[in-house]
Amino acid sequence: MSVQVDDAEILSKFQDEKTRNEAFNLLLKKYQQKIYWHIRRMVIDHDDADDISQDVFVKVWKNLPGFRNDAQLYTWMYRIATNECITFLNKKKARNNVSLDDVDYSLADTLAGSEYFDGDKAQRKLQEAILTLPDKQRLVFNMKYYEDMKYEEISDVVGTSVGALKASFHLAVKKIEAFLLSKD
Amino acid sequence: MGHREWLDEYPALKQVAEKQPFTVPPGYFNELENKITSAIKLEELKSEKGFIVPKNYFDELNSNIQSRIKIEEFVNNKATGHAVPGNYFDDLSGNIESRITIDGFDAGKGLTVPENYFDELSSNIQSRISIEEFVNNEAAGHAVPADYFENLEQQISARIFVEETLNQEEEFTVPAGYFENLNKAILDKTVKQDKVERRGIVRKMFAYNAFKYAAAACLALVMGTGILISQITNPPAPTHENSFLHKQLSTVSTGDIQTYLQDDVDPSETQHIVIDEDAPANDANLNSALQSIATNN
Repeated sequence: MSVQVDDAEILSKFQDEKTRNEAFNLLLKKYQQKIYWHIRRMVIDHDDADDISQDVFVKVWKNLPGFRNDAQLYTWMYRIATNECITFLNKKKARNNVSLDDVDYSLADTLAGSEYFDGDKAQRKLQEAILTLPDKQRLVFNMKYYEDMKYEEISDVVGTSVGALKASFHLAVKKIEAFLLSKD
Repeated sequence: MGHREWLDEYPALKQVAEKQPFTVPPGYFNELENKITSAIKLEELKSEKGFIVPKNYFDELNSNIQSRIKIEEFVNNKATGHAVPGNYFDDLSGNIESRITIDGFDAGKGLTVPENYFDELSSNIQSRISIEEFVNNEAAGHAVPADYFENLEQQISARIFVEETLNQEEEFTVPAGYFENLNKAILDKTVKQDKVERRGIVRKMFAYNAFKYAAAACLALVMGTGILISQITNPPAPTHENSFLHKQLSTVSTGDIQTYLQDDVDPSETQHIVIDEDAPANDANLNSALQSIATNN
């Protein structure tokens, strides 16, 4: 378990040309897995998540000099990752010329055929339930359920008010509960 | 898990283990850092714009493509079409039949020609060529005036004579080195002389008005003096305007009259005649003349 470096220290080192690469390596070590899993839960497929993760960190590298300290570093990176996921899913939907629901079915097929899924039957069923949700509800549910993020942090990521997020989250949970109860 | 109280409201979801169900390939996260670093380097290389195109390439690209398309179309047409003259195939059948007919004539034996045909053929061809050339010349518009060729010899002879005459004029000779010295002589008399004269300051006398008035005054004085002297030395003959006798005698000098009167006339008689005749006379002059005669006698 590597020692987690404070975001302020990473940003400070990044401002110095000499320690910029070192700061970015620290940032990668601290956030690469969190960003990866955030993406993976949205796109399901590992290779897609791998490509998007790399794109996200390239953007972080390019835009970090202009990063404003009024936002937290990790919520800023989550916002970039979230936007990349939404863009990817929209492109996939346009490329396959299918509706959003069909994309969810496609993701379910990906989930079913994925060799990188180690969950049990209940966990698979939960993932299938999550894939029935709209993208925004999936985002909110994943960040709340798997990452235990506060509504305020989720609000910074998705740009929605806390109240709307709460309503969206409870709606998503009810759908999932109903899904889990309705099917074996 | 202080934030997980909400799960209590959803028992089915709560029963699902909170384990991460997704997995990654072994050692994936160890490689991810290198992948991201490589991706960043690749992105930076992409932004360096290694490839360039010639100046105005994209401005001219459209016209270049259009030209290329036209060339390709032209080449394809030549390769596949081998174009023929218009109506070639319509006339082909008739041409072939004509050719067969001509060949049949060539191959045929026993065909006859008019008598002496081949003897006259050469002269006929020559005549035909001359006619064709004449017609062609006229057709081409190279016409000559009427009787041009009839007068041509005479005109040429006259022209030769004129040319020879003109050439003879060139046989007039000049002294050796004349033209070489001519230029120098002209320059000596014109340009160089002017240069010498221009060395001094030229003042125009008539530029002064006083000189003009003085000259006029001198001229008037000389003329006045001359007239005065001539008046004194040769007094004019007295004019006699009253009678024929006066007019006639006015041309006779006073000396002649005095001589005549002294030699040929009696003074008393003369006075009587003059009074009797009641001729007009200048009494004062006559009396003075008579008195002078009397005193001289």
